[in-house]
Order: sequence, then structure tokens, then C-alpha cells
Amino acid sequence: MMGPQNFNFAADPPAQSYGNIIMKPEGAKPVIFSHWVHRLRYTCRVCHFELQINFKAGTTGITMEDNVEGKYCGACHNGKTAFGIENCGRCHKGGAGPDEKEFAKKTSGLPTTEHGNRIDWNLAMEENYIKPADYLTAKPEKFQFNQAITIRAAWDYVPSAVFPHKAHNRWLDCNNCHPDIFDIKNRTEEQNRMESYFKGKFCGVCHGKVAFPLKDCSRCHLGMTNWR
Amino acid sequence: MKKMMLAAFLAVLILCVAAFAAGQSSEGQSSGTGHPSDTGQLNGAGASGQNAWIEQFNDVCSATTASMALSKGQLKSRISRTDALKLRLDGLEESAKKVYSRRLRMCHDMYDFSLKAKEKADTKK
Repeated sequence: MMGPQNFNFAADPPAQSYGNIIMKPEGAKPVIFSHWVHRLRYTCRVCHFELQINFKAGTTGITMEDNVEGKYCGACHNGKTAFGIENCGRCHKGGAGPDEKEFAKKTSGLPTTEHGNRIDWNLAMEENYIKPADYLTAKPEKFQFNQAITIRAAWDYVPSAVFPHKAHNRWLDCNNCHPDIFDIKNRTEEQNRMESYFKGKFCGVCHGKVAFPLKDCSRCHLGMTNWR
Repeated sequence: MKKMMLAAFLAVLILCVAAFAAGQSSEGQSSGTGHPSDTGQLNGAGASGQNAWIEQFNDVCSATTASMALSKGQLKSRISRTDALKLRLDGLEESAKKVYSRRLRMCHDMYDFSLKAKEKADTKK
């Protein structure tokens, strides 16, 4: 019988490595970008909306010239807000990102969860353990859109999934998902399917890569036992 | 001398009160209803020089997180303002154009998305 047992859940990487992105520029050592390091200080909105860094790694076309002009990484890595781009080796490490010790030190005391970084980032923000900035230069007008959407599961024994706008609004701009990822004009059944998420579509654009992984079943399917 | 200092002090005080009042007025209008942006009143107002477009850009795209709070008229106004701004962005240098053109397109589509959602909800009523 087809069901969640047929899903091919990836094994959890070490907590400090979940969400790490490796960029391989020509003629320089690879850059290891750690999402959790940046998430402690900034919401996803800042980089993926205000600075226009695409969700899909390697598709933005960031050049060092852009950074020098204060775009992309250079918006913060200017020697004032964060270390300047002249410190090449701090990004172009070529090897691994922050180690277990650094991770433990910087995330000490944050609420935990079972998978991914093993940190409940949403709860950490909701309960003010962390206060990441929501913008760099242009303060957005805020409007709390709290609608929760219930998505019926394909199998009777799996509880419905609940999508809370509120939890996502904390980190993202509405514009991050609408209409490019979820479009009212092209609403399909495909957007409610786990198979789509495994392919990196819809919720899978973030969940399974940088936001909590898909095997953290109970975070969406309230009351369900997590995959182990 | 004392009179001059008093006059200068009063002038600074008046300027501060005026600036504070202007700030309060602008805050009160930023809820998405009656915002000058939504009536086109801020089109270029106060923006001058080479980076005037940035002020216009920040202003028109500031409500993507609040677009569901805007009326259909306000959304239509923002959509037409993004269309007008697109022409200006086309003339920018490559790096700025790359960043802002995409975001302007997203911002336009967000307002259009909210407008369609509101129209759909009205049809259901």
C-alpha cells in the first residue's frame, strides 16, 4: 500500500550542517554559506526578498563586483555591519562550515526539535530567544495575516496538515511565496502533494533544505508521530 | 545677544514641533488605508536626484506584506505605479537593474495576486 512509509526521507546531517549551501565560483575556493548563522540575526526576508537572492542556490548570479557595489552579500559584508568582503577566506573556506562546537555555543538555550538543525526556529523567534532583523533599509508595512489553511491528507490515517500563515509571516515576505510559488490563478492538487515537496516544489522549496525537513511530520500534520 | 539666542532657540523649537507633527501624520496614514502612496500622491514627491527612483521603489513596494489590507482601488494604483517605475529601472546600470527589476516584478505580481484574491472573494459573496 502506498503511504508515508514509501517516502524516501534523507538521513539527517549533523545539526550544524543542515541548511549549508556550497557555492563554487570559478577561480576561487568554494563558499560555504551557513543558513543558521545568518538566521540568528536576520529573517529570510532580508536576503531572499530585500536583497533578491534567489531561493534556488546558484541561480542569482552574484559576482564580487556586485558585492563591492553593496549588493547581495555586500549589503552587510562591508566592514561595518559584518566583516568586509576583503576577508576572502572567511567565506571562501573551501571546506566545511561552522563546526559542532561553534553551533553548540551560538544556539545554546534555544528551543529544540527533532530534525534539521534540531532547533525550533519559529518558537525561538516567537518566544524572543532570538530577534532577527526584518529589513535593512526600507521598513515594510506590517499586516498580520493569520489565516491557517487545512490540507486534507491523502490517507485517512494521516491527520490533515495545517499551514499557518502567521508562522511564515514572521520570517518571510508574502511576496516570497505569492504568486511565484503559490499562485491563486494556477491552484492545483499538485501543491498539496508530498511528492511535489520531495521534488523541491511548493513547500519543498524550503522544507527539506533550510526550513525543518519533511520527516518532521508532526510540525504540519498535528498529532502525527514523526518519522524515525 | 540674549534676544538673538532666544530667537534661534524658538526657531529650532518650532522646526522640531513641525517635524514631529509631520511624522505623526505620516504614521497615522501608513495602515494601508488612505496612505498617500495608494492615491499616487507620493509619486516622486520629495524624491530628487539620481536615486529618486529608490525612494519611489521603496514606497510603492513597501506594502507587499500588507497587500491584503489594501482596497482594490489601492492595489490597482500600486500596480500602475510599478508599471511606470519599470521603465525607469530599465535604464539603470546592470547590478542595480538585476536586483531591483526582479523585485519590482515580484512586487507587481503580489499586488495583482491580492487583487485577484479579493475579486474572487467578492464573486463568491
